[in-house]
Amino acid sequence: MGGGPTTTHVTSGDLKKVVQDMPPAGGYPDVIFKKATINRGPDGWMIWVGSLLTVAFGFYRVGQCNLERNAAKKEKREARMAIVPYLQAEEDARAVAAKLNQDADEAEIMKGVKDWKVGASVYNSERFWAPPSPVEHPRA
Amino acid sequence: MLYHLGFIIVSLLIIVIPLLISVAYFTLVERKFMGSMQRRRGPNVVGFMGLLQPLADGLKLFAKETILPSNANIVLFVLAPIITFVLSLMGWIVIPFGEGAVVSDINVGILYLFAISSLSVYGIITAGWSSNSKYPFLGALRSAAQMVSYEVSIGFIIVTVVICAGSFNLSTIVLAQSKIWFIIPLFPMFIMFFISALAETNRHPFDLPEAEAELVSGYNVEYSAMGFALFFLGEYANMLIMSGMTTILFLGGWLPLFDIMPLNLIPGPVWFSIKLSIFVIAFIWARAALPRYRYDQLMSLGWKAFLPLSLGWLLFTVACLISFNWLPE
Amino acid sequence: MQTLFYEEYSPILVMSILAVLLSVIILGASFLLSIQKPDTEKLSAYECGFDPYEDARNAFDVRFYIVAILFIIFDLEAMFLFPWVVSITHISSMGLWVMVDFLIELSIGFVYAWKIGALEWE
Repeated sequence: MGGGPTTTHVTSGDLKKVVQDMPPAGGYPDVIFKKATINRGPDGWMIWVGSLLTVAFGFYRVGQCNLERNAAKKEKREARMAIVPYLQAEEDARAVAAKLNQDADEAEIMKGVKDWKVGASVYNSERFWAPPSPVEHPRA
Repeated sequence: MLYHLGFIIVSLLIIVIPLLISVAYFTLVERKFMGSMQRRRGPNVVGFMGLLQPLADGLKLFAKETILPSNANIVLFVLAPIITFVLSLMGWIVIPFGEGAVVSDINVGILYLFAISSLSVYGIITAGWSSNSKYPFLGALRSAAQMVSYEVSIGFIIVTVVICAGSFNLSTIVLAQSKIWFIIPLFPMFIMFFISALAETNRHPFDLPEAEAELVSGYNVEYSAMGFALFFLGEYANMLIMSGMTTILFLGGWLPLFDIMPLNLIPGPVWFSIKLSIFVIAFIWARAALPRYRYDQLMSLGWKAFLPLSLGWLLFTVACLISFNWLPE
Repeated sequence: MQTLFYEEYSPILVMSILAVLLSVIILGASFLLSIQKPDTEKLSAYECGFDPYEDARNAFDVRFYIVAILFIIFDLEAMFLFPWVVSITHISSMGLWVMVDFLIELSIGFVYAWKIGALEWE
């Protein structure tokens, strides 16, 4: 038996000669785990202020429109109220003419009846009876 | 009386037939538009530029076999797409296309639309329950819970718009925007309304209940042929109604952009269609661009974010209008 | 009988009948005109390839029920707001504070529901 390793097992002396993949001297640089975003566009406070101004302007215009619509509705309401006397006058004239016609027909029909007063009131009291109004309540 | 009935039927057909055609072409618009956003063409084989594709789709669905599953409750199974389709058509009666161009100008128009969208939940639950199988049932439950959560915030937003306009009548709401469209004072409400409309119609990014990966198209798994087509048409008609509601409530309906001469000549219905198309495009754009919400994120957005915010903004609007005496009568 | 109510609401009735008719025609025509060849595999419920071995009518999560109840509460709150907003000119400041008081009570309920976790996971 000549020169050579004295045993057939692997000794620790053999392990020291293996080349391993080690990190470079000083370690690796730090891992960048934050997102690489670029802050562009308006800042937060600018968005708030801009939104507030837009909303304020919008409500102002809505308010103007509502004031105008209210005025228009009020005008229409008042115009209708203003012509009520004229409508009532027409209706009164028609009612009087109809009552006269009715009296004439009644005198014609009840000609021979004794003690018949033409055009007498059919009610027992002396209260005033108003003919039906031509104007309906707007919400009906 | 018969003449009146005939008149009503003709005016309804004037709405229904173009509506069905536009719903059919909406599906084509969606496919082509999503294709463009994904740098490909949509369907362009069937007609010139794919314009006959909806006809081909309709014919295919018409000719397919109607499968009535053996363990489904047949009456409810057939009734569910009918309910969905009928409700999505019934909303179109009160939408004003122009000045006086509305079939039924009821004084509670916006309340009627709100009621119709609340009733649509019935169609979905009926569909899920009657197809006696696990996936449609779960999909229907989740879809219904999602629709119902976002309806609350839609209700508060509608109340906010009505207080600026003074009436529930849709034509009055449009006319109240003659000086300024409500999108400018109420634009957070507009954003919330649009997002809630996306959630209400089970539309991307809120379409987890009908996502293919999770629930295999949700409550209409068991439907084939015309049942599926009716659900499909109902969903797209619902999207058009939501777009219509958004333009009426926020974008001034049939009013022109400014009340100046060259823009005044364009008729009201054309303006309405242009504004409605903007929202149709926005629906499709949201589908192409955004990832899907998880279900608990979706529900927490509806309950924890939109509800308090819309309620708070309602109080702010009321306070602002009352203190400056700007309330409509 | 040409009252305003009749003029405004009769299209709704006619439209509902028309829409039902239309959908029945569509479904019926498709059912009658297409080739029907039912067999057991086609008619069974969809379960990703497996045979469904139990009924689908089993218990579901209680959170859906809670969401439905919360929806009823808040939808009714919105319903109370609807007549208030059209009549607020007639009840101006006093009406506002009454409604704010109502909304505060419901907000307390909402905060309670949030804190006990009724709005979680769904």
